[in-house]
Amino acid sequence: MDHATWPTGTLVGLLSILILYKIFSARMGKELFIRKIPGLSAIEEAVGRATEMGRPMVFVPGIGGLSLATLQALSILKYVTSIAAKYRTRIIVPTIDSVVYTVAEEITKDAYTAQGVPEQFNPDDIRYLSDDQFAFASGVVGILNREKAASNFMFGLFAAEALILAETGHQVGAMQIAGTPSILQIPFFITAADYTIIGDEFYAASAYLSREPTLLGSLVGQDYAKALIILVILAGILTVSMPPLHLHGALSFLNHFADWVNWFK
Amino acid sequence: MFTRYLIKPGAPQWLWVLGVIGDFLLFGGILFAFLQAIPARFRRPFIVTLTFLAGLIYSVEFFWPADPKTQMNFLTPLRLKLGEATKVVYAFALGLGTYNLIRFHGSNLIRKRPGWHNNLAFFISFAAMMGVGFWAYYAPSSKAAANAYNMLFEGIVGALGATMFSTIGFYIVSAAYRAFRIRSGEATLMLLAAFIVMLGQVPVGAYLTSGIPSGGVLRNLRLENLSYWILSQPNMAAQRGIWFGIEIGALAMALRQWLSLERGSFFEREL
Amino acid sequence: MNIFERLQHIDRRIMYALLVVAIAAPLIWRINLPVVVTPAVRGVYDTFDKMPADKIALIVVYWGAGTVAETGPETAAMMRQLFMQNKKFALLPFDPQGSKFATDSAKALAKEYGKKYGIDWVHWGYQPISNLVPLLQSFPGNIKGTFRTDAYGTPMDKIPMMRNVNTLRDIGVVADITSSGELDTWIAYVQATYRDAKGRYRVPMVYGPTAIIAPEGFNALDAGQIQGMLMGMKGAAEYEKLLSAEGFATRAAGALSTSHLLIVVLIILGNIGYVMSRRRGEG
Repeated sequence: MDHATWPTGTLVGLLSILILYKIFSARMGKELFIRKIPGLSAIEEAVGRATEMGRPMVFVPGIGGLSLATLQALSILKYVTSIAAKYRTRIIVPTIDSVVYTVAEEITKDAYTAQGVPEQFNPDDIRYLSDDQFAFASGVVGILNREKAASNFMFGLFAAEALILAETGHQVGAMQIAGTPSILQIPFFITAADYTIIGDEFYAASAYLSREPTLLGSLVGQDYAKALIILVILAGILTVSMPPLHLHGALSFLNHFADWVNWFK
Repeated sequence: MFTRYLIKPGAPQWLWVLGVIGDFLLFGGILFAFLQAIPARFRRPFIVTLTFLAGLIYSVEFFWPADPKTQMNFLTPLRLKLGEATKVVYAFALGLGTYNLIRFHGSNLIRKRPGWHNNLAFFISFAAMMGVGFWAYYAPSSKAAANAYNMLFEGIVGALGATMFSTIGFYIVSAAYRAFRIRSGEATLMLLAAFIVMLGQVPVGAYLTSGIPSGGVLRNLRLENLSYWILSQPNMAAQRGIWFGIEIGALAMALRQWLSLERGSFFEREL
Repeated sequence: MNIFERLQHIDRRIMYALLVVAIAAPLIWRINLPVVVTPAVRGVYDTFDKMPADKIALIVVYWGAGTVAETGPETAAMMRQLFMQNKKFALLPFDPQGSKFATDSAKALAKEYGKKYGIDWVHWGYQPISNLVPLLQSFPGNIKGTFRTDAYGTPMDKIPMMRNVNTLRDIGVVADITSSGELDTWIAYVQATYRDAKGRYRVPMVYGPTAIIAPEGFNALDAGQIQGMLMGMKGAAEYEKLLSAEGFATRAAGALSTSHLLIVVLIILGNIGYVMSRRRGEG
């Protein structure tokens, strides 16, 4: 859609107001609850496993460019790298996009510096492989096999190569945690990875890992937004399912009540 | 920007390229100098304001009603130009990626680390593809160039891509064999659904239930109809539900980025 | 390790070897199994069938060598129906490999049906996928302004079938054949929003994805945004049945069946091993 239609503009506006309202009220100090997300809780366990086995970890930030999903993946990378730096565990980050490569390099360097071990950062561990999907996949497969990765993190946008990466990780015996907003790849991650983060749990990751009030507030705002959409859907189902009204007089405007769903077309 | 006024139309292409690079360096330099000059405590507010204004262009352009005839509003030309500028930035980043590849493979090759022959293979392939690509581009009428290009691109790159894609078929077998176990009620349900869809999506499914009448209520028990129902009803509903969540999550993240409310990663770095 | 534990841990090399046999054997010794046409595929056929003869179809090709076994037959079957029904089409590829495959296919079918380039079909030229959104924003209102020449450098005005094709309203069907999911982009930028002096025009769309991404297409199918969908190679086989023209998809449908059966059998064996091991353990 090139430009917003009235329904789109109204809906996006309402959802944005809800999300922003919850963000600002969270910043006022309100305590917010977030349920456990097993995949994200297992990140520290995966890093610990790599540390004990003395083998490196691999973090694949997806095959998208610098999009929202990749930015989210990179924020998870920062968290994973912080723990890796604390435990002096090596982390390899192959990327498919040159811009993502530069950002990933900055993030990992910062994480090591923040933990007081900037000398542990190895720029050769952040690699741009190729911008071709399957060339990138074969490169990651090679890294997983040669380095005998103990843990494999796959976060971001994925396409057909998702199963190749996940199955290879399983074959080398890596503990695997995957998260993607690419719905069609979720079944492949579920079958091959140990933990999979589905749908908007992926976008909740930064809030979950940091417990930052702003991010938690945003999460609650998202839930309110989903509730609003559910109400709209239920109202739509009811109005198109009900029999036609034949009211007269002052209430006659309600005869066209069911037409409101056409406003969305 | 200044290139349009300094360089006359019809000038050679290399002059335009130099001009555009010059524009970027000039404005980049001015911005960098400005950032260095302002006190540290004003840097973050400056970046936040710049981010907000940049996002505001796109937001207003999207929400402002467009002329029905041209499908454009007053900000659309600016948005289109910004989109082109972004592509140029990406093109610069490609050089960085190539530098990383050369540095990584070069250092392994020079130090003769284990597997150095793979690094040599990278350089040979890189040089060959680049050379043949330029040859085919600058000599479009040369049959030798076209043949060499086709041999490398379709014969090797295409074939290798198809091979990697084909490994998915094998991996599906081992992944499905390992994953589909009757561990719980939900796992059993998932297994049954998988069987129905797998068999219903191929002719053998229709063959296995060909004894069931194709008319009346019983036709719904035919594997191909069951499979179609699973894909077109519960699968579609589940996908839509997940999509709503994902897109709202993306909206929230976009709002946080635009209004500089994002936390974590390098959004809180000292500037 | 007893038999039931072995069943739970079948060596994957054995599984892969069996898969090779399951795929190769039916290609050599043909298996004829009934192909049942689903409503989604029927929708594709009917959409092209109802397309007015004075409009052209636009076949968008965004797939490469990796998925040629699925999307190649889909593309060929669509072109076949159009040639059979004496309707014209334009090819718009976003992948260089797909462009070559689709062009070769079109040339072979044109020869079979006695059709000529420029009169019955045209190639609008390969476009990089990074250019998709700007292209979708500009071509619906001005096709010849966006695509000034065809793939061979001939100005669009000089191509007979393109003389009266100026805007999206002159396109009867858009067929998106792809191994990546950019259908939403076409719907958002072209189908849902095109408007001209005559008002809104929702161009009928059909979808030809690979089987992996086909489930996503049901959203658009149910919403009426696309009128039909082929689901990978099996969809192409159903389509070939509707056209009464056997192609690669029909021949390979047997291989598809045996490979799926093999997966089902392996899963059953694994579960037998799992359940029996648990029972013995509990006993």
